[in-house]
Amino acid sequence: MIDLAARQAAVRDAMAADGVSTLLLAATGLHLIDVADPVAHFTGFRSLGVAVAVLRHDREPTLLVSPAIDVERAAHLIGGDCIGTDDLAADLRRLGHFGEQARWVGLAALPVRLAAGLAEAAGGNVSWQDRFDQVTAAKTAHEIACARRATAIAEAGFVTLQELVRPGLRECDLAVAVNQRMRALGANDSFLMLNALPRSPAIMPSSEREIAAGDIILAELSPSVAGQFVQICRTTFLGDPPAALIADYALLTDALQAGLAAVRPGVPVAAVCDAIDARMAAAGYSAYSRPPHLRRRGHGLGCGSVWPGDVAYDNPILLEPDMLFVVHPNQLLPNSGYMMCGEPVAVTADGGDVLSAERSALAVVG
Amino acid sequence: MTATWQPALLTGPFDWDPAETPVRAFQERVALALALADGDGLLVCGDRAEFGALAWLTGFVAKLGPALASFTPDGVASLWFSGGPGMAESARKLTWVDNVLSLGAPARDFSALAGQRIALWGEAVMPASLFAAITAVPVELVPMDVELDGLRRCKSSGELVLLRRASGILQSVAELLRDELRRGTRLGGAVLAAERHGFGFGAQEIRIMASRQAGGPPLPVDDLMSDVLALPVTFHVAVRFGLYWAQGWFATDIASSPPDGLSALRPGTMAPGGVCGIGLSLAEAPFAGDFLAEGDVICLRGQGGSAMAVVGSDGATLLV
Repeated sequence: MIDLAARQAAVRDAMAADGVSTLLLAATGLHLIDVADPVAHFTGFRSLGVAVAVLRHDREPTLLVSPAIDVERAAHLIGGDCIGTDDLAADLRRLGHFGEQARWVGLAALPVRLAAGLAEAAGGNVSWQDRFDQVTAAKTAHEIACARRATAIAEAGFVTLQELVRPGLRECDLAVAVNQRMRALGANDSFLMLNALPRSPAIMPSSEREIAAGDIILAELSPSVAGQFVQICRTTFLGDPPAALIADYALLTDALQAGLAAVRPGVPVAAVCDAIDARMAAAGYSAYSRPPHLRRRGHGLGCGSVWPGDVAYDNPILLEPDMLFVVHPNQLLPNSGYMMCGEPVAVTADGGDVLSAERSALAVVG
Repeated sequence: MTATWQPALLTGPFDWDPAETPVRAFQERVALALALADGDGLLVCGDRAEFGALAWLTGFVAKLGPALASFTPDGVASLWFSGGPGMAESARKLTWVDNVLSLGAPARDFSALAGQRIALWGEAVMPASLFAAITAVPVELVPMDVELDGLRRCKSSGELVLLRRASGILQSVAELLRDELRRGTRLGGAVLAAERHGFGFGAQEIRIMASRQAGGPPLPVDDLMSDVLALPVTFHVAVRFGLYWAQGWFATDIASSPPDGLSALRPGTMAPGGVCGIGLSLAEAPFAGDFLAEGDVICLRGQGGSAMAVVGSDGATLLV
């Protein structure tokens, strides 16, 4: 497995190969499961606000950190040339004009006015996003270790969910309690979507609806450890589940196993989706396996990089060792509505290493 | 601007409550904004980290990414949220707007605006990629943050009720956190206890930062420091209730006392350094250097602590 220094070297090699004199990495200050943070990915530093890392071919990186007060944390974590600023464009301009061979990663995610100011200060706004993603697709040993720990925390969070769920409890209160449990176990953040309905059209952010007997509780438990998110997808029935629902869920978990079995280096991400789709098609659900019912069968896991992207039928990216993503067949079925099952998987030399200790199974409470 | 650590997803109780902010209040705000908006309608944008203007007009919370509301000149509202069409049910719970749609392809979603000149509120938070996609329709977006932000300054009696509730929870959370830290509870555990306390009082979210070094500035409580405790700890707490923020700076070794000079903060005087407006945004007008107006709600930070206050004709008074 690689470490952060190897990732940084790979970026520098690619810059040299492409004739990129300066690479500017921009981070929004948001640290999300499915949106990349190139600064965190390159430096290991998760910024409080907008940050820009400046990589010039002939010198050490410079990190501009906003708000200025956060520079203490940056310097402590990564050392080197860290500049605290409350005026990013002005301080970027002070570093010099970077010329026509400067390239950006992450600029389009910034607010439009700030992005325009930074592009003007740098002398251009040409994107190098795909190339950066490509050469930094593999997770480091540290990130995969964090992912393993986060997965164990997610599984513990699901146990807490089953312990706490009861009729009359609001979705949001359950979500808050599960998040608190996962953070107490070491998660630094959590993207937890959790909702409950007798028949859901999709997974949704928690509302103030009170959970009722007969509800299907959907949960994407997605904690991060040191910024590395994972995700497990789970379904819980509150009461005595109908036979049709049990059968539908078994179909989903069977499809999940098919998808996980397809994970190996050298195959396109689409092959994982195809393996799942084939199981669903065999059961007669092809029509439910495309938009608007379904967009993807999984996705990469930030907050650094979200490669290899969506587990989708049209994703040609080839899997490589140490890529990390979640496989989730989650979808709406005509009898039962939307249900979820999913596991995080790291690509190994000859297959996929599923990080969760227990596979998705329909949980029944009450 | 105050920066806090933005959680990956807001999970607290954010459903729109008509008893807190009725439809009529929103419609009056829309009418005010449209009266100032220059063009064929108004588009307002919010994103995860900042959605104050969007919330002021719609109550909506941008949980999953950028969200947009459009208003025709006669006030017909539509709202687009980040997320799939199946999530519309939960999105509708966040707003009075009836026409709530998944933000899919902007070129399609906003095709009806082609050729128009639309006032844009929230340019400061609109992602460059979204701005480019919408203007490709093509539609001319006229940034009007400067003109429209001022509408949010003078807080109504209903807004003050929510701000007072938020301020009350803030004080209670800060006191509990101070007690926990003085008692020797590790920082991570103390933060979680303080959050539970705040949620118990109805807070929608609580954000806490604390100093890395004794007496240092509050910084994110990340994984590097969750077990670290170096007294005295200075900490920043931000609490949201009814979408309105309250915030304050505290220390374990100093009993908080309101900064001096509140009575001098009268309408027409210039907001000094350390003063910033607060409401649906953690930092909003008036900023230091702006002239204060009656009804402004401000957070004032001084040597001995900080205070949430409202500017009245005789000076600023504490919210709680």
